[in-house]
Amino acid sequence: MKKTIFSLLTIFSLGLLLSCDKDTGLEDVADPDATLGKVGNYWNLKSTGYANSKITISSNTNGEVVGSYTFNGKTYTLEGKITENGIYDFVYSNGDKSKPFTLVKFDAKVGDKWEYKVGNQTVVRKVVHKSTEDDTFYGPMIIKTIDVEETIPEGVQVKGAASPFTKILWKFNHKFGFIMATGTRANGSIVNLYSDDTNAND
Amino acid sequence: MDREEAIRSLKVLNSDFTNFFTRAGEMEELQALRFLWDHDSVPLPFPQEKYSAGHPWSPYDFGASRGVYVLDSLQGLFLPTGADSMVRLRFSTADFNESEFVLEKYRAATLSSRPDFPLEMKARLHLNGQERLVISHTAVVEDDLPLYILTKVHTPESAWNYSLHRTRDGDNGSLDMETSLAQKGFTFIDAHMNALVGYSAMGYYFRDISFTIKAFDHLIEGTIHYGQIDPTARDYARSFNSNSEILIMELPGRKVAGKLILAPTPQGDLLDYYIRFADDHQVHVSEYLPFLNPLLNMKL
Repeated sequence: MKKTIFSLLTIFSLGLLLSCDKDTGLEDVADPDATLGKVGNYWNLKSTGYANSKITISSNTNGEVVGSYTFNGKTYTLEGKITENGIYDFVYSNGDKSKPFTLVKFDAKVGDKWEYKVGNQTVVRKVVHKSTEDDTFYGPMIIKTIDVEETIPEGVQVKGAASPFTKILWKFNHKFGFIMATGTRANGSIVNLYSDDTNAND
Repeated sequence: MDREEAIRSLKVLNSDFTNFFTRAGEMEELQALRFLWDHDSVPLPFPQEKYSAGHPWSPYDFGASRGVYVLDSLQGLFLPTGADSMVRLRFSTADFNESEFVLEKYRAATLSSRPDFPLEMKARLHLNGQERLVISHTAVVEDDLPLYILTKVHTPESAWNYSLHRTRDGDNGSLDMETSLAQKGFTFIDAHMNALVGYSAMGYYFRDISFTIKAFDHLIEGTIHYGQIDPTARDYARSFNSNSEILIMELPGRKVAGKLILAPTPQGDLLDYYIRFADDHQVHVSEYLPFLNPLLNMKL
């Protein structure tokens, strides 16, 4: 179980953002402080049965962010990219920053999808829900979310080991960033990781 | 070579591997290891990692596992019977009498991706009172990643060797791997891989890969400019094929039987590996080389 929650933290590559446009995650970000990737932004993280954690943006270079979090007494770092338009990660490229993979674009529509090929298999991220009204609890508030379902073929590697998940449902908000992730393992059991507080909208 | 000759050549290669896997499966040493592997009660490190996707990993405690264990055939369990400085598993079955697997040394480290990466291991297998298998393994870890690995598995008639050496200079580095299989002094599989890698907070990723696999009377030679392949390209197969060349050749003479490529399946929505002949005709890899599928499905 520690392995799976750690994997979800690893796969969870960060935070949030602001507006919209076409981009691939390779563009420079003119003003990183105007994005959810502003240095110092943090998200409290909770998962039932585990100690709370917090991921904090520790650096931002042209949108390429490094987030740090502590799990099980050890500090880990995650890398991703946050632009004015979306969030991208390098999980499947194992950190190769020339190969960002779109996690969410805030102007995306239901049905939009992004694919990342690994050999003859494909990881798919598809927008499955976009709120038209406030429908999701976030701390004391009710907010809108954009939900991305990630489908992971069996055997795809994350940090040198097979991903423990076959599906991950991500929930994001354009002001608060990461809201929740639900990882589904091959045996059907699930792990929830959610945020209930952030300073990203301060 | 023309298509007809190439198909004959691929069938020979597949036959060589099929015979090899059949003979390997019949080796008593491997049957004994499989017998141990199937017993969840053995106090060895590997059974704990058998179900990595659905079970928690926990570090293997060699010190606490030391002792003598004897197979209780009625219960199907290895039960502790005494103290020892090593882990001794004694068993007798319908196939093996007075047999023993001894884990003499075991030391592991926690890596980012594995809580129990073996740094040192020495083990011996005795079947019917004779030493039949010796496993020795050493590894060095640096930057939370393997730096060196050297593994040797020897039986009286065969030997498998594996080595890995990784280098790092800032965010750049290399990875060299070699493996070979020999029987009665004859090396029938000899593989080398050299890769240029980049480093990130997550570990390393491949930029360029070149490899040669000499297997029986064939040579598989490949270069993959992995860093140039766009995993999000609309036409990923084209990106992969234009940045890679994997040739299957027959020895001697390096006569090319076919080129391994990625192409859409007949359904069109999936990609898979195909062999392209000199006349550009292509067939799914499993048609003539079914043994290759599991290797190709390994993820880099």
